[in-house]
Amino acid sequence: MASTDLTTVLNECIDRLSQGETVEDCLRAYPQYAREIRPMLEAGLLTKRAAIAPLEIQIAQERARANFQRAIRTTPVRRAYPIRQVLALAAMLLIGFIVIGGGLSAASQNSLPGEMLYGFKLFGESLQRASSGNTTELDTLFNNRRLDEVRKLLAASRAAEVTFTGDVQIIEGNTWLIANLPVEVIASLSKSAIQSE
Amino acid sequence: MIVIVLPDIATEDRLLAAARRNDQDAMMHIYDTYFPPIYSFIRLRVADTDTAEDLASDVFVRLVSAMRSRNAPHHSLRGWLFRVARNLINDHYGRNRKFTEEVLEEWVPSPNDPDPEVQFFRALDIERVRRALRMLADDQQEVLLLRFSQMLNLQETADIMGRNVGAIKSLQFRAVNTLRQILGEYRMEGERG
Repeated sequence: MASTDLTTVLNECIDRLSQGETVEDCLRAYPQYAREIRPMLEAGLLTKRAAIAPLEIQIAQERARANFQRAIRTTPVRRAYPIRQVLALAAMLLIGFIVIGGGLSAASQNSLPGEMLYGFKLFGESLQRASSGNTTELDTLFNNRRLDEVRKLLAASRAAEVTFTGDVQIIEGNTWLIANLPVEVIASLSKSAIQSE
Repeated sequence: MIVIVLPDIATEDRLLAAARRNDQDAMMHIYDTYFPPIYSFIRLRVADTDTAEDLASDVFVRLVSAMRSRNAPHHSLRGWLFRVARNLINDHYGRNRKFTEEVLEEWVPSPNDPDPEVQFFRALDIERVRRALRMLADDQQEVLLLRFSQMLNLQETADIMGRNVGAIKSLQFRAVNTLRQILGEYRMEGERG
């Protein structure tokens, strides 16, 4: 495989030339190939001799400089966000949402109707209900919370709107007992309830 | 003969990082440093000086665009520049393919030359060498210019030309021998007078 050897030797000699060695240095390293390699290296080195005159390069460089400077001044920055940055931003937003949402949700657990965080409490419950397969159980749990909230409001003598369900246990005039809570109902409702009995 | 020495890779990477941060001094430094080798590379493949200047200028305008978009090179600035120059030359020849007509001059070897072929190479004038180079296939011209003239290593040359190092080794071998063959024909015709 003489040609393979020559190919390798030529390549190594080109590397040596690029590191500052001379043709003679290389030929001394491969004397058995000297006769074949020398004209190849000399032919290749003609490309260096064919180099363009410094003055011509300088003139071209100065004339083209204006184009380059204009490009620097006028080319807009069009940085498309790399996918890694987009994912990092999305992850940060998600973490922020979870942290803030989780914090608000925890803080709102003890809130009562009419308070600022009560809306978060109901929103959290609606999310929980939407993502759950067993809504009946959750409805019962949330309704019990409403009843508990009514009891706390009554204990604190505060008025607020609460929606809950429960069995009517006693009807006495306009005062009904629903889910163990006394409820004042409007007269017409009380009248129609008595008529239906 | 002009010898253009490219900066070492570490210096080049620092320049590139600064340019990516839109550092205008770094951009100008890149232009000052790399325009000469890029222009030389183009000019040796394109005979017309105005065309070579336009193509070289275009390489650097494209660099500015790339630096300000997501296409900015992250390593091997020289590889990126030579690759763009190479593509622009190919596009140019795609539009304007011309072959240079060679006018032979008389050359008579000295009877005492130990290696007439080498002596003939050494006696050739620059324009003649350039014309001979332009008669090579495009990839052969490129590999000689990148390896002998720009002194890029095998891997850098392979990256720029989009080939593996084995293919570049074979290509440079064929290129020097084809150049020898072309020059040998000059010599034979010169001897016939």
